[in-house]
Amino acid sequence: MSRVETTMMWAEKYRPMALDELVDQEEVRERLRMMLEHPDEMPHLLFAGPPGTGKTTVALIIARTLLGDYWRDYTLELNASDERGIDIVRERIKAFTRYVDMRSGIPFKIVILDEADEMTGDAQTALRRIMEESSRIARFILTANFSSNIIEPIQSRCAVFRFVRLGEKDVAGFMKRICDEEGCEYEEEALYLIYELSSGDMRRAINQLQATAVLGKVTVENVRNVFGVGKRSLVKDMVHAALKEEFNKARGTLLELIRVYGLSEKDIMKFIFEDVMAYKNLDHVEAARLLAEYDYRLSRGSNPEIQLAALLAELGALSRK
Amino acid sequence: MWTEKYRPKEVGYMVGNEDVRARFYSWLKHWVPGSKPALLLGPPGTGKTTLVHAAAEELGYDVMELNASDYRTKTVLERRLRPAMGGLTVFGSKILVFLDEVDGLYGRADYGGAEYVLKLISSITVPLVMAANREDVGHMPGMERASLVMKFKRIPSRLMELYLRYILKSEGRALDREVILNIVKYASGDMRAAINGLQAIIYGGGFEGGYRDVRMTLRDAVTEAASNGLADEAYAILRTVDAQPQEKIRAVYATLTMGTQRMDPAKFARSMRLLSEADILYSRIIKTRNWKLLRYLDRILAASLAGTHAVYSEYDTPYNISSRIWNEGKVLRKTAKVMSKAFHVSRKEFMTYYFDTFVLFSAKNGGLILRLGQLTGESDKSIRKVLNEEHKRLLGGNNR
Ligand SMILES: Nc1ncnc2c1ncn2[C@@H]1O[C@H](COP(=O)(O)OP(=O)(O)OP(=O)(O)O)[C@@H](O)[C@H]1O
Ligand SMILES: Nc1ncnc2c1ncn2[C@@H]1O[C@H](COP(=O)(O)OP(=O)(O)O)[C@@H](O)[C@H]1O
Ligand SMILES: [Mg+2]
Ligand SMILES: [Mg+2]
Repeated sequence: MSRVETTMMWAEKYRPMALDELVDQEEVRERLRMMLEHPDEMPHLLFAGPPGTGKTTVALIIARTLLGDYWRDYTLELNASDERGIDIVRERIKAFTRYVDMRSGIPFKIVILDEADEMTGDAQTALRRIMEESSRIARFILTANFSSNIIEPIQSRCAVFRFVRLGEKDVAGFMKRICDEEGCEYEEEALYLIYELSSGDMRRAINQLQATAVLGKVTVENVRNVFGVGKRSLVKDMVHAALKEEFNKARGTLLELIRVYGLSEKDIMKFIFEDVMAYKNLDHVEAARLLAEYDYRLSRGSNPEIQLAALLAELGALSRK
Repeated sequence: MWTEKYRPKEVGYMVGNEDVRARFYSWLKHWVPGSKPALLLGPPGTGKTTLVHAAAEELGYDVMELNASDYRTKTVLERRLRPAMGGLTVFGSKILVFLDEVDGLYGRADYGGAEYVLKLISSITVPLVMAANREDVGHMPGMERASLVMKFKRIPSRLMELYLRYILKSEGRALDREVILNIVKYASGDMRAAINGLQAIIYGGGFEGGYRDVRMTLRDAVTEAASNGLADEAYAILRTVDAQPQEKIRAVYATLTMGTQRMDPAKFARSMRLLSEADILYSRIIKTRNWKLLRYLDRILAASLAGTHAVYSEYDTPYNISSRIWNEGKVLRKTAKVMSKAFHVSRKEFMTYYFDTFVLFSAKNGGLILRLGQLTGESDKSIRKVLNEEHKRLLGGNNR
């Protein structure tokens, strides 16, 4: 596909292009640096860790480092949460890893399977054989939030790298750099608030920062204002309606979030938790138990919308107590 | 189990559907490579599975059967069927491939299964037989077009009565004619149900009363179950409906969410919790392929509906939102598809974390909108419109 302009989004514009630019993740960087000195010896890689900590970034850095200017031609980048089924494995991945059609100087092709923990069990099983058969032609780099969702036979074929949640100082420091570069004014405190609101996720932090910068100076007040608009605020409205026992209104918003905007249900759950816990007149222990139960059900059920709708109904009953 | 013990071993011992039996037998007997596959359609318990096995046995075929309980995905299908493609088993006998319950072959869990079967139809080199209850499932018309369709009818009462008497005789038992007729009426042309009923009466002293009204639609059943205060009775109603589990779950979801007004929050929450449990049970059934668990599903759904007095609703989405899903939703989905790739994130991640900020910078960016138009295949006018509306929503703040 031909390229689209991406630099308007800071998270993309400031995505590190080399290992040195990455903040934190010392251990990962050290091990990788050694590994990259002997590309021929490189095994398949599995990057596990929380969102926005650099997994995809590092995968892209490796592709660029090893494949040079033509990395795009020899890299297949797939996001498993968009394409989770077995067909993708059997068709696209298999086709890509079957032929040796490389120019000299390229050690192998690279398949980046982002969010591989979202793949179905069948798809992972199918992948297993391909990873072995194609090992002369291709290397796989898998990323995942939880390595436990990757089936064991695949884990055993990869060198596993654990990415850690980013620290406050590191994230704030990175944001400062961006602000300086973009010439935008900021209050130190505001950056720490952003960190708090984005729980160590650099992607969330940078997007929050940019949205705030649109309003002008990055102040604590503006950060809070920005937090109150957009899809994030829809969740807040939804929780509010649910707690006021306005189920139909709350579910209407849920439908918008899922079916119009296509937000991730897991993230909606995360946001609901943040919002419910911010409510004063509520039994927080009961609320936490309820949310824990539905978080679990969300991962177990077959229709996430039904699970979240049921949660909204239960929140209405909870607020009564 | 009498239904297995009295499953006819020869085509001639079956009752009802004489013409279909003859057609099928002759189809198999004269089968040559290139013959169309046979598709047996009809209500449950009318002899589809029995006919295939009996005819195969008589004509010297080994049946390689895959039904909804053991195959689902395209890969599994392929793997299981590969050995049959040669036409002979290791022991040298002829093979017939029988895909039972192909109407149950859809949805996420059967990823690619239906498509694979359609492909299989045109390429297979051994006799292929498919059977299904329903014709109104998404992929069924395609399969019908490619096959020789043979339609089964419900077994007439008179023949059912005869067959039940034959079983009684073999078992050395007797029953009043009235009771037998009662069973026959209850079974409504489903021989399996009749035999089960018979066995229940002989050994259990009775069978679940009432007549099975096989014509009950999902709509009627859901409405009636909702107005019945007793979960047991709601269950008796719901279980008579001949519908796929997902359809039932969907119908209950739509009815509870669209068809209830001012219910007591605690009671409503309970209903929704039960619905959530039904959804989880269903997902477990699909994952483990343990179809036996299905028997609990109607119970849970019935309990969820019972006494809610919900009015049946076919749709689970209010109109104003449906139209947004169709119009804006379509443009947004395509935009997410393009932009998520550019930002190296999933579509959901793009919509969740990038979209709001993205809107601020793209709504006024003519060049980008043109480019998006090219990449999504949507007109730049509609993209501009959607982005502008989102832009307004954002700047309007949270006073919506
Ligand atoms: N025509 C028939 N003659 C005699 N017994 C029958 C006949 N049809 C069904 N039965 C009895 O019912 C049982 C189930 O029949 P069978 O498995 O052939 O049904 P089916 O049409 O394939 O139904 P489904 O589509 O629900 O699987 C058989 O084991 C047999 O005992
Ligand atoms: N360790 C890091 N150092 C610097 N920036 C980072 C780091 N981790 C994430 N980022 C920023 O967050 C964005 C998302 O990072 P990404 O690698 O895609 O996260 P994930 O771990 O979810 O794959 C990147 O574009 C980059 O700007
Ligand atoms: Mg990633
Ligand atoms: Mg059958």
